[in-house]
Parts: sequence; structure tokens; C-alpha cells
Amino acid sequence: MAYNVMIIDDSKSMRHVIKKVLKISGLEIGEIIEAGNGQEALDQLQDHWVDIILSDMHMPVMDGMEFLRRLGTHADFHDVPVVLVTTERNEERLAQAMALGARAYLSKPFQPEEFRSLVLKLLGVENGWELAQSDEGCDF
Amino acid sequence: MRAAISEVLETMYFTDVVFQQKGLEEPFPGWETVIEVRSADESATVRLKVIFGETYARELTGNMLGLDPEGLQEEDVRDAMQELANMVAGSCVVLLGPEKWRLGLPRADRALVVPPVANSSVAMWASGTFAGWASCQRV
Repeated sequence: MAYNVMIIDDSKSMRHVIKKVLKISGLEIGEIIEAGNGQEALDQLQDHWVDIILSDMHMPVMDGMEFLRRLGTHADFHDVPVVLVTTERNEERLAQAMALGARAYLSKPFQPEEFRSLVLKLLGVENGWELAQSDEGCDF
Repeated sequence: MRAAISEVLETMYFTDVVFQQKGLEEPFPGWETVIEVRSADESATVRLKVIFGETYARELTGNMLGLDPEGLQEEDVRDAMQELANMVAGSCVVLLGPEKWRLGLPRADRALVVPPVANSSVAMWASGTFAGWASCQRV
């Protein structure tokens, strides 16, 4: 099964890094949809199905918190797991984000293996390395 | 700040620098990235400045993206420098007390960079070559 992933981050570089980590994760990746902020993400969701959302918190236009609020009332996507990939360390704000529906968070900078484990766990994939062979190798 | 810079460089940019008090003291072409961290009650601001020479900034960006530094656009370098400062500031906030401080948005500018004069400034060297400056100051 190929998983569609949405990456929301105002940094193009960070989106690139996350895509690269996903590609070497061993997980079969379908479509990767990118958005620079929460509003762009909501717009994109009108035309795409996604299995997991990886989102930054601090973004211009619409930040991760507001995105979570809006997603929580979305008819089709309120159950899609959201992982926050963020520099936010304030536990109160992170708890608020979890209360709004985020399933987990990962602090930047992150280790690729840490990222991979979290994504596989949330997708319910037990052993990602056996699912698919990456032809890019593990040169991250 | 030094530990935060090293952690970010090692984890996301696959390199590291050595910190020294002395560095290039005349202006040099490079990237200056500034990010402010404000106290939750808005009574205090800390400004973190990360400066890298042009060549080293390109090298870091190339490392992060897995691309040839020569083929990078200016916007690629700007974005990578901003993200670097964002992550360094995020790690520094942990030391300051994350419940009391909020991160601002980083801004990177390519310029003839004037070395910082703050007492807290520290020079960064990579493989024996001057790489840049970093400073953290209450404003």
C-alpha cells in the first residue's frame, strides 16, 4: 500500500529534507503534497487524499495550531494523523496542540531514524524496512 | 548557543564547526540571519545572530539538501539559513525556559557582513577555515 503524505512547512529546505527522509524510510510513498502554511494545506486537501500530515507549528498566514483547529472540524480529514515537526518546546503549547488533535510531535533538529519510527508507528506499519526497498540507499 | 549550533549542524547539515574567540574582523560577503526570542510577557527580547561566509553558507545548504552547492539558487541558501537559525533558537529556548519564551520568525540577508561586536560573539571555524560568527544578545 502506498501512503500519501502531506508536508506543511514554510521552509522549502525543511520540506525537501522531510521528503528525503520519507523516501529512504522503507515505506511505500505515493503522492507527497506540499504546503507552505496551514491555509495552503487546507486548500490542497480539497483535491487530494492524504494518509498522514507532517506539519510545522510556526508559519506565516496560518500556523499549525489554527490548522489543527480547522482540520478538527473537517468532514473528511479530522481523523488523519498529524505529526508536528517543530522547534516549539513550550510544553503547554504542545499540550494544546495535542488537545487539538495532533497525534505526536518531533523536535527539530531530528534524527532520520527517530522521524521514520514515529511515522511508521502512526501509520500502523510494524516493520517498515521489510515493506519496500529504497533505491536511494541510506545516504541521508 | 555553541551546543545548539553544533547539534543543528551535526544533525541536519552533516558538519560541525570549532568555536574560537578570534575570527575575521573585517566585513566579508556572507549571510546574516537574525531571529528574536521574546519573553511571554513581552518584557525582554534576545536577538540571536548567525553569520556565515558566502561559500560556507552554500556548502551548508548543499549538505542539507543533498545538492551541489554550485547549482543552488540564492533563495535556497536564504531558506536553509533561516531554518538553521530557527532550529538553533529553538534549542536555545530550551535552556532559557521554553514556558517563558517565544520564538519569532527568522530573517536571512545576503550582504557584506560586519562582524558582531557583542561580548557574546563567537567565531566559527570549519576545517581550519573561518566560517562565520554567532552572537546572542539581550536587546
